[in-house]
Amino acid sequence: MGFAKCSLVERDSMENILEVKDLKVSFKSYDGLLKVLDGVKLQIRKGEKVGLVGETGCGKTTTLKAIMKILARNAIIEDGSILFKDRDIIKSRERELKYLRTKGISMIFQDPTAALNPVYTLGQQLDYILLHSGVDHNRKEAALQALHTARLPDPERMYETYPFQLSGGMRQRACIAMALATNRDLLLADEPTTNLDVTIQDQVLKLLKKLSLERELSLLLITHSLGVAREVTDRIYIMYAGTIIETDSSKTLFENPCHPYTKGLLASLPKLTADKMTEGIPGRIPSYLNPPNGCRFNNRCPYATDRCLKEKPRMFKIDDNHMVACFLFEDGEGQT
Amino acid sequence: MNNKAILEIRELKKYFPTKRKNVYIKAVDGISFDIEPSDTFGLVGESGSGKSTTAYCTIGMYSISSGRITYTGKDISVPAKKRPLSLKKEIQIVFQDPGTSLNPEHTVGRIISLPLKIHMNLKGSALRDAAVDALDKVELPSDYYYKYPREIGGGEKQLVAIARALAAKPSLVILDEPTSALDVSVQAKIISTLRKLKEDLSLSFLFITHDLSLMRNIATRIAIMYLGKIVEVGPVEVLFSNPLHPYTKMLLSSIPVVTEAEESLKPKQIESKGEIPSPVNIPPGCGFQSRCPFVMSVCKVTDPPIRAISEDHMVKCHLFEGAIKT
Repeated sequence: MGFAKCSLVERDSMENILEVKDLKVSFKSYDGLLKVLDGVKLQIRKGEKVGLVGETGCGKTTTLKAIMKILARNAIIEDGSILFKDRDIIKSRERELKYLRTKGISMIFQDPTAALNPVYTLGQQLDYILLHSGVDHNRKEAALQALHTARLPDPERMYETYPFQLSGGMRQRACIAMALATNRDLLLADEPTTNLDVTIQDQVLKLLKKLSLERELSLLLITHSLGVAREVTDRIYIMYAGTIIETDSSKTLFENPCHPYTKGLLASLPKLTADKMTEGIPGRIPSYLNPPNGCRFNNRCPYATDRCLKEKPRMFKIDDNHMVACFLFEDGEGQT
Repeated sequence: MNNKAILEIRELKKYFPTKRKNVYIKAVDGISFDIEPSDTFGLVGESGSGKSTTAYCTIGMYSISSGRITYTGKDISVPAKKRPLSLKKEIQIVFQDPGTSLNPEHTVGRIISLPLKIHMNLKGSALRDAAVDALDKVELPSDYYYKYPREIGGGEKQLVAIARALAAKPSLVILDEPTSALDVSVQAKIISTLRKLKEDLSLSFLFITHDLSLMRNIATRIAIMYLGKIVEVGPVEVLFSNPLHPYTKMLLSSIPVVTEAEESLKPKQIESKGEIPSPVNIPPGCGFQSRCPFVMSVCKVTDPPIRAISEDHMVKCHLFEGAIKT
């Protein structure tokens, strides 16, 4: 008990590099207001690797774009705050944002082919990034170093290479090289391996993990793959329809999932142990035009009660790491 | 030779010409396998390994360069144009991306009616009833008959594509990565529907995917492809409990898994490195030599033949040279 208490104190004293509080984002559309993010709350500590997991359309990328403040023009940030090193990104002016994007946070996108400029060599693109990150001297050396760090073979030749001359895995490594060319505090990775083959995915993930360990880099990894999140991150947030529904350390979450959605998701996953797959979760993600009142999962949940239809569950604590947004766990004990 | 096999592929080769003379892309380079009735034969490999080319040769979308494909003893090594209609009906395909394989300008009803018109000669109300019946088989409500693909979700689109493939009452269905564009909860639904249909209609599947965990759950036999060749083939339990080829081990050890129990099933000793080389100008010797941790001098000279390790477990690797069929 004493040990647990001690570790709790230590955790609290650790600095949060990013803290998203009650973020609500809507989008204007011809049909009306799409209420996408409904009170997203997450924290990343210094050096921590965090996974944000959910299915298509649950608001993962919207969360990421809000953090970078690159949301589409029809987006409205209704409420909440995003604190990066205790400065609110939402209230930041353009000049502060420039600092944020060139020195503080960098990002890796899902499709490396679209993220790289096809008419410039990797060297030219790296040079541009380094210039805007405030590196005035020896930029070529820094670029070669970056290519080397991302395990691209023969950096000298890569410097002169155009993206189309590379394979998908190499392109993603090039994107990693660009994202980490200068020191950053936080790396946002949006499905960085979704388009890659499983052996290449394994290599890219190991590289990301190694680099973030070496540089004490905080990582927010967005993925739809529970397995990828488990292999790379320390802690996982499960997202459903614009809300965070469960969080726990990656080691234990899938051994003891609590939220009915997490359970359903895990049960529908094909496994190497050849456990029987279920028929998935009935129904589909609700429309953001008029999302259900109360818990957003209530129309698909086998345990839904009247209360779930009216009241939105807050996060209930299971243990020090494990929190779940479901009334089934209100007393903190956990029952199913 | 196995004469009860529903599909037999022997030494299938498909070379694509390039702009340069006498330089070919060897997409499929001499593969042989059998699919027995009510088998789910899994074809696994990375992109560029020739999985889809094999499927397209089988269905007749590509003409083959050499080799032989027979369906229940009948030679179908010709492109679909030259195949008799009665044979075309027997083999149907479901593509990877339902967003592009369904015509956006046609209603679901019209999409499903086409194979019924061609293969069953149905007209009028009989055609409509058969189409609604086909929708019912994949558990879609009958009002989907009037919907357009854009109005329905990704999983439902794939169910429509499955209904279209099954409308002609085929005996062999080729599934080319049918769920890789879908979310896991939707994938689970599609897989369970496919399982049910296979049972009810006694179908055989040629199932192509890069997802080994999914293979473990649905396939009866698996072939691992690398650079246009089959490197290992065997029953699913054997291949997962006793993988022999270094590439199979590499694939298995790269799978991201969610539980400790799964973790313990992965081979530990192998680390994935390198990438699949270009299928143009493949160097002599084994195609996997550039990535293999056990590479020997012989691997750089001669390409190993595929050898039987046990009755139905075959592997194409010099490491198992001494192994004899038991």
